[in-house]
Amino acid sequence: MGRYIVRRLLQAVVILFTLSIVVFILLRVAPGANPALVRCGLNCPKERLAALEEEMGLNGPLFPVSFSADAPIVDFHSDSQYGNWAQSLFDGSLGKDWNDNPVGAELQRRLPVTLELLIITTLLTVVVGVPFGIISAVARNSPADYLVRFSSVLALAIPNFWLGTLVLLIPQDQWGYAPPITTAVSFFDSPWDNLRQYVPPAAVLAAVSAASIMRLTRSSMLEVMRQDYIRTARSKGLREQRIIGRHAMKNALIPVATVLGLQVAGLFGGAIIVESIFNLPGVGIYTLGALLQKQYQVAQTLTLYIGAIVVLLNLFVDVMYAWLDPRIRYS
Amino acid sequence: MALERTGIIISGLETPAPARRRGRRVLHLIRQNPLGFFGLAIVLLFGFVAIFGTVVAPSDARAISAGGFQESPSLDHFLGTDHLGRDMFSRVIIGSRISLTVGFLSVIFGTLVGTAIGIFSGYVGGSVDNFIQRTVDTAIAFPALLLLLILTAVMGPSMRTIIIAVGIAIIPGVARVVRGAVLSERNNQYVEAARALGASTLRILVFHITPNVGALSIVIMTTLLGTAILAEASLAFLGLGIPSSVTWGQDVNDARSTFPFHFWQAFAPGAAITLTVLGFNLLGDALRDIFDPRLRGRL
Amino acid sequence: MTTKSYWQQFERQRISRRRILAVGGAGAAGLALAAACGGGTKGPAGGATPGGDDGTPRPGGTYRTAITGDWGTVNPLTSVAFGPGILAKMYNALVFQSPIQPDVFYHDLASEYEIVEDTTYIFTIRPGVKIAPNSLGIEERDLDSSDCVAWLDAITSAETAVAKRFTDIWLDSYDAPTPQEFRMVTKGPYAYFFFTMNTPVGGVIPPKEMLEMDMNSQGVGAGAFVLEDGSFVETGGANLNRNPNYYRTDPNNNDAPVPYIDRLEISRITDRQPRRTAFIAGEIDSYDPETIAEVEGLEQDISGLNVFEDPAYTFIAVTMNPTKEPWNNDKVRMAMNHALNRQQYVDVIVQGAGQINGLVHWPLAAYALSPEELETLQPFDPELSKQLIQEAGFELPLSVKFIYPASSDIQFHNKHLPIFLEQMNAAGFRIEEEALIFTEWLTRYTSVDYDASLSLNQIYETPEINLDFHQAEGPTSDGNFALGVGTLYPEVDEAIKTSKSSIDPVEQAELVKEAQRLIYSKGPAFLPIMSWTDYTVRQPKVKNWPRGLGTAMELWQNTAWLDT
Repeated sequence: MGRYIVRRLLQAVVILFTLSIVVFILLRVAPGANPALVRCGLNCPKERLAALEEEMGLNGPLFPVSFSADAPIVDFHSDSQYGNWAQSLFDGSLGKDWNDNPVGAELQRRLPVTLELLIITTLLTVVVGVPFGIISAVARNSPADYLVRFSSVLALAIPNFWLGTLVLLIPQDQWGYAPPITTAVSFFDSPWDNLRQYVPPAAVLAAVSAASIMRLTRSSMLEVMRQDYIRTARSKGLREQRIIGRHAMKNALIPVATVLGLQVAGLFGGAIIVESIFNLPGVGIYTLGALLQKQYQVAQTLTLYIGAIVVLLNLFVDVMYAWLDPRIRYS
Repeated sequence: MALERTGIIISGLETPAPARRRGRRVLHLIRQNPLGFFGLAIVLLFGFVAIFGTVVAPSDARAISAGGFQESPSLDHFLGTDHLGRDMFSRVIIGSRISLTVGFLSVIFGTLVGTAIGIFSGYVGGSVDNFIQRTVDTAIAFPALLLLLILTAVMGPSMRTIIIAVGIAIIPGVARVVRGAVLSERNNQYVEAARALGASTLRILVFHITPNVGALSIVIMTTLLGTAILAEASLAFLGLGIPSSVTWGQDVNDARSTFPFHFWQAFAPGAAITLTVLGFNLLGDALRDIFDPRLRGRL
Repeated sequence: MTTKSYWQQFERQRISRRRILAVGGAGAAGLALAAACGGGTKGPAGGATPGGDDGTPRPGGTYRTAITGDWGTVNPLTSVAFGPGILAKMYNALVFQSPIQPDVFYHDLASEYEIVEDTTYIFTIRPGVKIAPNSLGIEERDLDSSDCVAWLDAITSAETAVAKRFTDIWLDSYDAPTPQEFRMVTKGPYAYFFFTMNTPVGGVIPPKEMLEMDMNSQGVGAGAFVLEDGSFVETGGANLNRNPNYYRTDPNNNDAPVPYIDRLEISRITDRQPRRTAFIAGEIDSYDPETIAEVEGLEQDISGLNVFEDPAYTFIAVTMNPTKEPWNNDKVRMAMNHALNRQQYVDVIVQGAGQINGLVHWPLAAYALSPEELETLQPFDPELSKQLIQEAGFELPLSVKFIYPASSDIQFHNKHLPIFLEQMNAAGFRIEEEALIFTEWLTRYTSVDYDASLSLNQIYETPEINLDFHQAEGPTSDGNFALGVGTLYPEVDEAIKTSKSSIDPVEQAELVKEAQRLIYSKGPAFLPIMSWTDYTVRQPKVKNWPRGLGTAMELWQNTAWLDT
């Protein structure tokens, strides 16, 4: 088990490193906006532009190592753009954006919003998805089963931006009701307002993930219930309820937990569309803004941060999975 | 976002049934599976509409002031008009072209590449396979919309960008499922027999593994079409879609940012997206059931 | 009220070469003008006197608004984004001038001014303009002319400052003969002096101590409000509290100290839809509806809604690069001029609540050419377009490349675009679109790396930038953003320069019109399309908000109060 974990950790490091290079190249090297010009704004004199480019570190070498045809063949740079960025990640400052605001501080401000959205979404997902999945599997091919299956397929087909728009605008249009929308309300300041603000967007997100979990739970249950040990339990005369509760569910829920973990990782990236519609100042729209403005520093850092969460959560989930199901470990 | 919407579970242990016997069962099973038939009907309807759109649409989808502003549905305009007076019914019809075109092209691109990677990885095995698998796992879990945004920000919004970006987002999921299929195929008896007879790796890949994996790919592609359409619509909603074309996502965005809120202007394109994706999803489910009922628990 | 054109109003009160009487003082008489004109056509008339429609003002309350983008910074020298929205609240300018009614002046730091020989401006500094209490260690003293000197010192020596363009080109000298007198001398008569040097964008004066400190995210001045420590978030909002030392009082209310409003809370809501939702739910107190239909919808939801109308000093324009094919051909540019059905934009986008533009937009009534004259200079005639294209030697349809920002918050941009494409198709042009991410578009637009583009809108409060777009060196005189037909015809540059050099309003307006006629004859490369009416709605509890004087002046500070 220990070796498995170590091996996976090493792989994670390699993947993150590769991701950092890919993201860096994509965002920095691709042609497009000159960030110094965008920051300088209107009426930017050419000298000021050159000075800004220097200050923003846009002129230095890209990577710490460069190769050339003539000597020295391999050249090391201490002040490369990639190097500086990597350093800002390791020392925790996470760099600054164009107006010299530290990315780390901004991220800290926005994490609680994304976290709360994530928690409520996951709660709703589990509370709705798992029970209905189990019911659907146990009452297989009954009208209830068909209804639940159809609803979940429908939920997966509904675009979340459409659903979000309707959820926000129809109450406003019909009843003049709106959730708090100017700033993020903290739970500790006003629980009711906080829930009013976070539950609708979470519900929109959960519609999709619950449907997914429901289908997964159902198929996983069905699969498990076909297994030999269940048949054995039945033939031993155990009550159906006990079978389902004790034996089937436990094993069926293992892959469900896996996918849930992945969903959570995805939500850490912030639900960009939902945050935008409901005006939640989370990590998602921060990333969106950074990408659209080509704020390289911020976009790179956020992308890598999300990638790191994904990789680590993946690792965690896999380790849990391996721990719960010894057959996997040795495969 | 992408793959979990279709509930694809990867365990890598399934075995698809051989290619030959399936053909005749298809029609029979569609009739037995009403949801799938419903899905097929929707898909065919939208396909027809997309191909013959310009003939079917009552007005020019781009014509400004074809009607009054934000009218409710009427005999002249079956789904009302939008904020610029354009006929919504025509826009929904013409919008299907972009959605389906982008959908098909990106899915074909993504599936081809993903299948190639999956076959390679599954067959080669070992640490190469292991590394690819880890990368694929990460890529699957990485938020797809973010990936799309990064690619669009880099390449600029255009038809080509969206097709490539959506295609790239699809690749990991396909690769993983295909790899799983290849793993089980690899140990199949007829492959062993072929190897014993001295067939080269390439021959085995092309003549034995690919056809069987191919059927799996078709099932995947059908469900992925729904995902691709949603992806394109999401990008259009954020304003990064194919500029100035008639697309459903952009229409929903227009509706949401126009006041007063005109219900039909928002409802029509969104419902169109939902129906189309629903059709592909149902069809995909049914196809999966047909091609291998044993997959039902796995795909 | 019948709308008088700018120069007609001015005729009553010509600026003579001698002294100009101050209209300033604590009770901005400009408001009387607004009341007489009746302001907008909707909502209760913003009464200039208490005891009028709105009752006696009461102090107190928080006024909440929302901005739609990043602040930029609150640096009074360099901020151009949303920062200027609060700069005039935190700091002071010498004298503001209303762009709608240019004979209305709002005297802030200067209680009066005198123009001598068209080039020398002598300002009398008002005593008692006191700095707000603060934790930055700045003494709560009165501002004097040394602050003005320090301010211009900072601008002229800065690497980049908004007003630097003016100081480089026009400023001859400045000094402070006494602590209560400040003098500026321009190199020649400059028609747009007040609009350039006395605007929230680059023209407000911080205390000289602030110039030594970081002004990007904090600021203390002698304005009506002071920025609350630590409340400024660059990607978020800001809070401002009333400056208890503010010098103004309300003469119509027993000289009660103003502002009546205690606190401003500004939040950030980028998307229109949540912003509208916030207004309807009463979470913010003002909102910017896009169309008259939206206003009417809101009026049904909220009874007693205050509706304000102002002409929008902005427009979307078609910019062509006259150094590239085919735009270097006069006839092709003229063809574009005739291909635009400007009225359709007015009808479809704002349902008639606007007017078409000539080269100078209609809100600047004194400088814009009349609709009748425009009909002869830029008639909508797609057949003529096709003919001109062919005369220029090109095949129909003529393929041209256009860049524009893809996902753009620029007001109405996304609505202009489909109409534009449709119209061009009908007039013999085939548009090859290149949609770009906004920052990339901005970069290319700034470096004139395009054949043609739909331009961003800016606030154009004077005709200066409109005309400067036609200069060889473009609107900023350094080859950025656009190149005008002046590159092809030097006489255009001459005419534009002449039009800036008179400070006699009647004469100057005519020079501006002559310049436009000349440019039309050469085939302009910058075509404004239309300007609309800007609506602002405020909650019923907002009382006594002035009307009809434009938005650059912060007159509301002296009269508005909240009925909570």
